[in-house]
Amino acid sequence: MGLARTLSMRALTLVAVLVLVVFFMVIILGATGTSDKILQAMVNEEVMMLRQSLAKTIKDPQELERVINIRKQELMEFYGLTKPWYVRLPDMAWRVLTLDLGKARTLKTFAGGNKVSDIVIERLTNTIILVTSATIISALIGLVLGVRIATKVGGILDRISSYMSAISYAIPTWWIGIILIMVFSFLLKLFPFGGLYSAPPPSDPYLRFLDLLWHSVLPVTTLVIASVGVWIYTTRTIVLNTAQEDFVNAARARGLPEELVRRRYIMRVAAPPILTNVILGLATSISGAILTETVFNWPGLGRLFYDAVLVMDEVVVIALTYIFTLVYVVARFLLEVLYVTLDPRVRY
Amino acid sequence: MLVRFREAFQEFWRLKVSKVGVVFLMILVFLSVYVVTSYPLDFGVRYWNNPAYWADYPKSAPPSWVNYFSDQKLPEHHVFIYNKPSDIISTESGRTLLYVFRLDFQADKSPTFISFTLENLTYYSDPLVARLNVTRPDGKNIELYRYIAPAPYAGESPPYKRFYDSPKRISITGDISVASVLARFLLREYNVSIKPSEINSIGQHTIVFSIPGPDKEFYVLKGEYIFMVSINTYDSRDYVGEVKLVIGGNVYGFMGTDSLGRDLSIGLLFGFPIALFIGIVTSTITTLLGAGLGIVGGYVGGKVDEVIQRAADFVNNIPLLPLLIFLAFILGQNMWILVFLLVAFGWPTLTIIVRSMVLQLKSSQFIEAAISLGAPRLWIMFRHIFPQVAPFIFAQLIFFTPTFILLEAALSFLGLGDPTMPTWGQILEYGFRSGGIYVGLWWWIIPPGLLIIWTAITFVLIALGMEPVVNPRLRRMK
Amino acid sequence: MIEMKKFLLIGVLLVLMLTVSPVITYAEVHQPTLSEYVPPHTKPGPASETLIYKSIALDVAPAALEAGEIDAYLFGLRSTVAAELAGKPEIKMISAPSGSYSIVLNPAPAPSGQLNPLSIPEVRIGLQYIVNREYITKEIFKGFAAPMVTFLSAYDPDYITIFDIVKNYDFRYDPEYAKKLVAEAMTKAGAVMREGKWYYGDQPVKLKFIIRIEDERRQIGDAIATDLEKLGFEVERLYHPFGVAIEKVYLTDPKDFEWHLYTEAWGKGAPEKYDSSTINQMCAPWFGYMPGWQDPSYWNYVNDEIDALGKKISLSEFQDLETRNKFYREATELCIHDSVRLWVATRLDAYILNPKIGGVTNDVGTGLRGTWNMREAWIPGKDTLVFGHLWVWTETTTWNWIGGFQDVYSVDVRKATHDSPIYRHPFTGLPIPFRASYEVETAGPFGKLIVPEGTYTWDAKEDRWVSVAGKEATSKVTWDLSRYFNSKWHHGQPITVADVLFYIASMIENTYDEDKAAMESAIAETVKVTLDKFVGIRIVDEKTVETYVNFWHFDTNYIAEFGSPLGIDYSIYYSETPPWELMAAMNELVFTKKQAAYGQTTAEKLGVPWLSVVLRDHAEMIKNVLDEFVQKDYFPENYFKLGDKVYATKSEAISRYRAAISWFNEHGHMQISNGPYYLNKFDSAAQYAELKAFRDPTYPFKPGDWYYGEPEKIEIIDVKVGDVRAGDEVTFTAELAGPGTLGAKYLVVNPSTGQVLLFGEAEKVSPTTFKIKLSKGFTWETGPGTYNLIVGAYSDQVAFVSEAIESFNILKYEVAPATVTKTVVETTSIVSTVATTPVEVIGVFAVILIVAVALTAIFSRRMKPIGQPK
Repeated sequence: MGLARTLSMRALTLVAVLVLVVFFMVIILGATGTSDKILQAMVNEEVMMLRQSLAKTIKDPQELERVINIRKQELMEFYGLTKPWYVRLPDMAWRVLTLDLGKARTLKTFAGGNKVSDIVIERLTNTIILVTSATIISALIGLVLGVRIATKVGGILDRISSYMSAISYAIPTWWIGIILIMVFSFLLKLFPFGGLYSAPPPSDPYLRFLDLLWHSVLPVTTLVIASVGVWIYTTRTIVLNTAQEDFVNAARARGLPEELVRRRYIMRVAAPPILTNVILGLATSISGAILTETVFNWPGLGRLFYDAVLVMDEVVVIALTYIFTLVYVVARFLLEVLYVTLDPRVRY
Repeated sequence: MLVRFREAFQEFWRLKVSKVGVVFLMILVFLSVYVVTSYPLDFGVRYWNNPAYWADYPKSAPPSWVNYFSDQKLPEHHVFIYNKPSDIISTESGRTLLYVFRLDFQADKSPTFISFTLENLTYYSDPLVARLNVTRPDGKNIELYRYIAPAPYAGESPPYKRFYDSPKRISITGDISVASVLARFLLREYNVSIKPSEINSIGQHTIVFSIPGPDKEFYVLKGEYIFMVSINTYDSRDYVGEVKLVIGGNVYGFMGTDSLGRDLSIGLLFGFPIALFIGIVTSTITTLLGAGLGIVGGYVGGKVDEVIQRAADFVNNIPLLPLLIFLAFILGQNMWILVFLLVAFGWPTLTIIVRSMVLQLKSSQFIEAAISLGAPRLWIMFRHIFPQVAPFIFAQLIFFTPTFILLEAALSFLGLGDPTMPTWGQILEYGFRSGGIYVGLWWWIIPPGLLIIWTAITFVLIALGMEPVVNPRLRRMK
Repeated sequence: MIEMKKFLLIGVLLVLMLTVSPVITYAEVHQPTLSEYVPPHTKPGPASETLIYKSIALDVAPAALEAGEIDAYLFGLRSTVAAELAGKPEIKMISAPSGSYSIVLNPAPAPSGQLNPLSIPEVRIGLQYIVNREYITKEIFKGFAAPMVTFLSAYDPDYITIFDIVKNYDFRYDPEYAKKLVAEAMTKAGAVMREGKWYYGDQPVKLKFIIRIEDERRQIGDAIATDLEKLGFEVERLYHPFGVAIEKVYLTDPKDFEWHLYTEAWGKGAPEKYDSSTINQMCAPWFGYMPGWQDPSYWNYVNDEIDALGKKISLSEFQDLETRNKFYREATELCIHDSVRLWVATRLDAYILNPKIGGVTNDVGTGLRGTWNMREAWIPGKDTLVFGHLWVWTETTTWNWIGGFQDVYSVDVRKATHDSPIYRHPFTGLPIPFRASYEVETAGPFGKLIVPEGTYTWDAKEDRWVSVAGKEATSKVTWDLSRYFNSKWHHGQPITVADVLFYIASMIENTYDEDKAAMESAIAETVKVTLDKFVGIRIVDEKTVETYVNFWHFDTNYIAEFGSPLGIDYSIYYSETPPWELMAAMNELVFTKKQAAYGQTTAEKLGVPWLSVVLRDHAEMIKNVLDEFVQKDYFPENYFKLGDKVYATKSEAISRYRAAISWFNEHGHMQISNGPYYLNKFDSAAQYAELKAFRDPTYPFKPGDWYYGEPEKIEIIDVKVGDVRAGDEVTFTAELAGPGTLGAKYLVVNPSTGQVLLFGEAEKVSPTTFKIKLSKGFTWETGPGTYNLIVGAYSDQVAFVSEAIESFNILKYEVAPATVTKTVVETTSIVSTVATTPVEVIGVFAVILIVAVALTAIFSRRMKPIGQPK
């Protein structure tokens, strides 16, 4: 019984955290007056440009003034400035929480639709191709190498791996991205400079997918270079720690073959923390890599969040925060369940 | 306590990784100390961000050691400064001060610009008239420019002081009247007719240093050039402070210059103290805050632990980078806000780990013994729990530093860094925004990136070195 | 294994970078001129067969061009990159003015006990002398900018009208003179200078300088702030992005002093031969761009004289050019005198293109993006032309004839598919006939014409054409639309007068019909102002149409532009005339079915998509309406019935619907127009647009018809000056070169005081040579000294004004030969530093390295003896 109760308690707190994060976002957007400031600035900029071009045709000052005021009122409504933030944002947040994401103000899907859910789904596929695959690749490399290195601590491989993970940990992803573009696109002309497809995009779906893969090689390599070091290092440390546990030594003392000890004792206990990292890594990868997506002109979720903040498309900002946190919270809950079932020692 | 520390240090020192890390750290600290002592603290605002200061530097020039690699010799950057005239010719109407500059020019390409600067002029009667002319290796002489110092203003009494707090820089390059002088020179000497506007686009400096080919191409004329600035003075008390002539080179210094002519070696040097400062200060505060909350949460337990855990969960779940962009966008961009934000969102990971460690420690015998002896909670936490956790916390502190250095660089790259500070992230951001990257200005992009990596690696290596100290089991293995 | 590969990668990378890059070719060849234009063929339609637009990131464009991926890039490059490419033979560059930069000053009076130095006009004038325009245009913009002393630069046609006023103020970079002016004004205002800083009521005088960080304004702000500090002010530099800066400057009361200086930037519209809006925008408070921004709740900068003059210019309350110029010069003088804005520079966008490209026109207003290049440009030996642009599609790239085409990306692609009746001349900015030709008859500015029989206008209430015979109209424009009516739309249907009638009727209907205007109120209100002046249209015969309007301008081309019967490319709304069946279907979709909207704000308000004919699902909605039209046999006869004559038939309507439907089925979009290219494919996700040549034999133009090439520069070849003795007469000659009828104005200026001594129009001796005579009296009065002769050359064919400065001496009457005696002083050593990094930097670095290594060596040795046995 204890297990169900604690898990449900855990679920409740995570949901509370989810709601809190969304309303925290509303407070930052609204209370600090940011969204009003930026939206008002955008209205002002648009009215100034309109006045500059209108003055060429409308010569009479009164007429110009009248038309400009109507246009300004129209824009105020368009940007939602007619409603104060504490009315506008909370109801937006409430609609997002009840999964009715509604319509974006300026951002659109490539086909022209402005339903937030369509925009997110469209960008999600790009992020998955880029960031999630990079996370999986570097996780796999990390696991394979991590475990191999952990068994032969102190060997040359171990020392080299620690240097590599140090370098990989310290590399700024976006910088290595720029260097890869300079070398492989600018100098060697092997890969495209960025973007999703080459222009004109191949029409038949199979070629179009290949074209997409060809475009994703450099960005994925960038992300792998920057994160593989961390994966190797963490896996190696976890496996090393479990390898020292008493019950492992006991097993060896009982004369069990090394292979059996490694598989049944070390790996079985090391599995949950490694799994934790993999799941958490996947969850955070959804939020995309803003910097890499910027350098490679890759329209993923990270880039979408950055554009939404620049254009102050409030609905999209709140919706994306909600989605990122939701995915993360679900991942953590999954971990709780996994943790309990897999590792007998942990009992609440 | 001290013995344990010495022993731990010996353990740390045995690893090659830590030796390399410490050497690097020493170099970084030395460089930072050198920069802080030899450069004014407001260097960022007064010099780095003051474009006029770099007017006489070549723009987007690669480092001068590039010449060793390529057969085509690029012209060096020459600055001649005179504070006394080399000759004086006195005529009936007054003295003419002559400043002669000799330049043996052997490069394969013409210089990038020519300019001369006058400073601290004083005259008592008629305004001084300065002329610049050049005698080329082929013996041809051109009077390039004639400049008349500003006349006395209404109600001003002699001595008339000019260009004391801001020197007068006259650029030959891009000057329309010089273009028409050169157009006439080419017509007279080589019977080549080129419109002044075309000369302006080819560059006056190119024409001065070369001979016209048949189809309007220009070939560099090597040999000795004699530049002469002659200043007519009309009163014996007239005085000229300094005359400077600059022949703009195509390469410059140890690290080259960026598109504004700023000497990158100075900018990169200035990056050291800031990177260290941001990295260390932010990680120290974050670690202390995180560990503190972890210990309190873990040890005290109950309501307090629950609150801290949920807060940690809450902060941990917020997507960090997008939010940082957002807040930097609103709160404005200065280093202190950046540090505050990094701390505010950096502490939870450590708190969660430390709490789980403290939970295990709490149930150990000697803690129970201390409690039974009636030791106050604070004393226990500080005296018993903290030393156990200290090595791990210190390792985390080291490990966090590179994370924050990279985060600062990332934010600067997105244009949200502190604009008054020439950090490496700022230099890279300007390189990326001005498109220098894609035109092959590699000396502007690669060094800052490498320096970021080098500083970050230093701390990662030290952290790796500390691993056995922190994790006793690992030590036993070896 | 992965580790080793990665390490190798970094190694290879470094070596590659070091060896390859320094071998960048440094050819001395100067700019290749545009190859003389030989039309590739005489077939109707554009020069190339296929025209492709694709999106290339800004920084990657030069590399993409060199790699041959694109033939030209339609977005202006950054000045650093442009400067870097200037010398390269494999890249041709043309530039055109693209925007201007200024610093706005806050002139609001400070509360008592405090002082806002910028509220003193003399201080503001002083600040004009600390803007180092030469440095900013040469070093910060790398030569891709022209200095500006007032709101017009040498690239504006009206610059010649105010040429002498601009020269008279001679705002040169002279910090010392500025310091003197500021010192005088500040002391008069009661401020005190202590160790180089100004104090007022023993408080230091502080200035808040808001500097934008996104573009060169960052460096401009820094340069000016440094000079402000040298004047003795304490400057607080506030670096802000877009949102925060706009909010602080434009949305707060100037009296709150959230800002004192702000770095402004302005876009550049099409060049105006006779400007009437820029002078109001930059100087006249009524327009709303002067501090206070005409917000009644704020303190507002007031200048009634400029307001009055500005309104006269805007409302054309003058009979002829001379009175207009008089008002314009007076307003400019007042504006400069008040100096609420310090003007810095006009930025030149640099466009790169493949040198082999033929038929390119450098449009003064839009540079490479002129409509001329879309039809004339081609690459010898290739039938496909590829244009790179920053984007082909963005969220605000909307294609619809009423509320679309609001961003540069949609406009630049549309230009190749659509022929406007009128365009602006690429060099003079004057409206010129294009696909239609016209004659204008006007009784303006005060007289009226009587509208003849057969003239109709659309009545929105009764939904039919009503006669306006007998009414009055200021002007009549007679249009020859044969080049339209003898040709076809892209989907094969003939262009008929029905399209013209439906266009005008829709415009009036959507603006004056209550519920339609209420739905699209923003558009309706804006268009209403011009439509109020539309009197009526008369169909004369099968190719001639007359339009009657209440509008006058002293240059009749502007009257024609106002009275155009079809959409004009650069008007904000109704900028295109699609085939009438599309207009009908879209009106149905928006106003009757309410499934889409023309304007962005309406789309948001009603929660419907902002109609864009290039997006598949929007185009499909239009097709479905057309399907309905075919089933219902729909024929809006009332739109084509003028009096008893009907200008269209039902069968024509049905075949038009079917043609449009099959066009959608084949191309997946609904952009059907009449230009040299038709839109074949549009893929927003892949940022790609493909256009094919419209080779229909009825298309009126062929390559070579609209080629203008590079604007012939107006050039001052030589100005012959010589010394003259005081009291003698002298004549200087100026040799000019350039197109059209040339003219030259001259000034004689005392260089040290900047004062204009003489100003006049040079006497024309031959089409290219001009004489400037200085009378005996003038040379005698001015007396001996060195003076500058400034010559400003202009032409009626080119918007650019070229300047030349030559100095000459007026000698004393009796001149004794100057005796030269040479006394040699010992030559002092030349301090010649081959400037490198401060040498000690490398020295220090080496020292540190040695010390660190030594320390570790000693330290580890000391540790070993105590360490545990291995």
